Amino acid sequence: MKDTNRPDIENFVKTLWGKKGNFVPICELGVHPEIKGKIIGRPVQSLQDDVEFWYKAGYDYVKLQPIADFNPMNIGTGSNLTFKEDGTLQRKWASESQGVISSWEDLEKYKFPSKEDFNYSKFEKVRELLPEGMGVIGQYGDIFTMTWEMMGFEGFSMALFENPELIDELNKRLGELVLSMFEYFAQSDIVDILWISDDIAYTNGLLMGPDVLDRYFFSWLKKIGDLAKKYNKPLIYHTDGVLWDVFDRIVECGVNALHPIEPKAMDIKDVKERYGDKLCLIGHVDVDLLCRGSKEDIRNKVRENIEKAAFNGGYCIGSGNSIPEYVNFENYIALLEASKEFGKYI
Amino acid sequence: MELLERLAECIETGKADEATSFLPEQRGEKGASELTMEALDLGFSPGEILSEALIIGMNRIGDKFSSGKAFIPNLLISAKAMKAAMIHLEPFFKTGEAQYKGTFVLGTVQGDLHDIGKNIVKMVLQGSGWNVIDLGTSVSADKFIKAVEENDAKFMGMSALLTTTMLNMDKISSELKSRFGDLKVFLGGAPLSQQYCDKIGADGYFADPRSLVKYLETY
Repeated sequence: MKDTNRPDIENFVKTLWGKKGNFVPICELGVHPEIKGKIIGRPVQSLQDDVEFWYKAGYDYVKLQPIADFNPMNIGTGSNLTFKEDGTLQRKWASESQGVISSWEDLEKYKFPSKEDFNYSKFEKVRELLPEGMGVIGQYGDIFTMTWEMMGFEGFSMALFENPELIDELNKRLGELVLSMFEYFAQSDIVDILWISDDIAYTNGLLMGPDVLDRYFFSWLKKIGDLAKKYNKPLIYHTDGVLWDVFDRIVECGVNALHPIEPKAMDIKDVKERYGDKLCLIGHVDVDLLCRGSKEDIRNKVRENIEKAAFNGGYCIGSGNSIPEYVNFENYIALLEASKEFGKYI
Repeated sequence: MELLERLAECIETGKADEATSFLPEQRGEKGASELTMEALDLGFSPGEILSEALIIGMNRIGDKFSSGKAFIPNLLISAKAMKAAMIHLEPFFKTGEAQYKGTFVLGTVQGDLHDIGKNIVKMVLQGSGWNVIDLGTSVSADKFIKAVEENDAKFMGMSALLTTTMLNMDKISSELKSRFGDLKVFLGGAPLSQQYCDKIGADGYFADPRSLVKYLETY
């Protein structure tokens, strides 16, 4: 990894619009704080530390979220559900059976935040911390995911048949809250790119039927896509899994770039052939490879992905999901270095 | 419609009982629970009801799931109907009058708390006539050993969601297979592959529960 970095948000944005820039950017949705700390040589404890990580690692952006607590009354924390530091539901372990909301009574008792509770101070503070050439991604999501997590996966599945109106109302409340974040991102002069993450599929197929996804996810994605279009900012969408049955919907909603093209689910060559003219593709270096592969494996995979997907622009290098703490750090460095080695257009 | 075929259809569509109301075309009609009781009253054997109706219904929805025409919620609602029917058959399994196809020990591997995938496998296996011993999540080798021994199980399955927890399968699989020579160990979950399964000497990797069931039918 080279000592001097020149972030180039314009090159990154150009790539997200599906064009060919000067080089192939790198892009991640999430990097674990432990990995970030290894890059900057100390724990990441402030916004400044975080900016330093994204800069030193060679990214063209800082990714920011508003501080939001979706469970201000800590309802259900005694159960098998866990919550992240910002109060949002832990998405690492999907909740089985019943969640915190399984009835109208539960819904009425639950304390939702209001959009005025969301804290956007990082978006204001980052202004004075950004190195030249570096931009900002505003990211949030999980409208669909939070809906089923709060009901429990089985609870949600049963309610689809037995109590769909309950899902409608919960989804509406969560959707309006998250949409307000994207309204902020779209209108903010410090935010260059919008990123929504919300898993709708897994290795073998969609989590739900397309009709269910239309109702509880795509309707919101369209609203967010319309916002992005109105304010002329590219929209990235993250979901794992096999997406062939919903690619057209994703494009119709106004998504410009798709992440992470999960390697076990889809081949990037196939995706590029069929949708490369409509979507910028991001990712596709398997997390398992980053964990258990060799540095040479990583280098070869980066080169292969660039050959398959970056020849006419519209591709960003990255993992096939995220960089968790258990990724081999040397392999993550190998990813960054290979990106620099092979990513320049001649 | 012939009784067993009606029962199979109730399992496939998830009509657990007469009160199930989300299927407008079947409102007010008997569901899986009532039809199972009626079949028993008419002299159908529990084994016949299971193999000629319940398993048929679960297989149909399982096949639709495998081909992407049905999704996890459809499996779950069918499993609910299956449970409603099985309540009436369970006494016959306890007396030995009806037989399961075999016993399958199932759990999410040690260190892993994910269980949605495992639960779906459990439902599909039960729906196919298997007795499933579900050990839950984060299951150690000792717990698997105890369950296999106590139930004289010949088949077990482990699932994992993460690369890190998947690696625990190696030790557990080796320990179980060296202890029980005729035990078959199957693997499933997002990070898994046939390559990893072969590497650690397990007996099969299955991307979906229906393909596991079809494989088990060869035994």
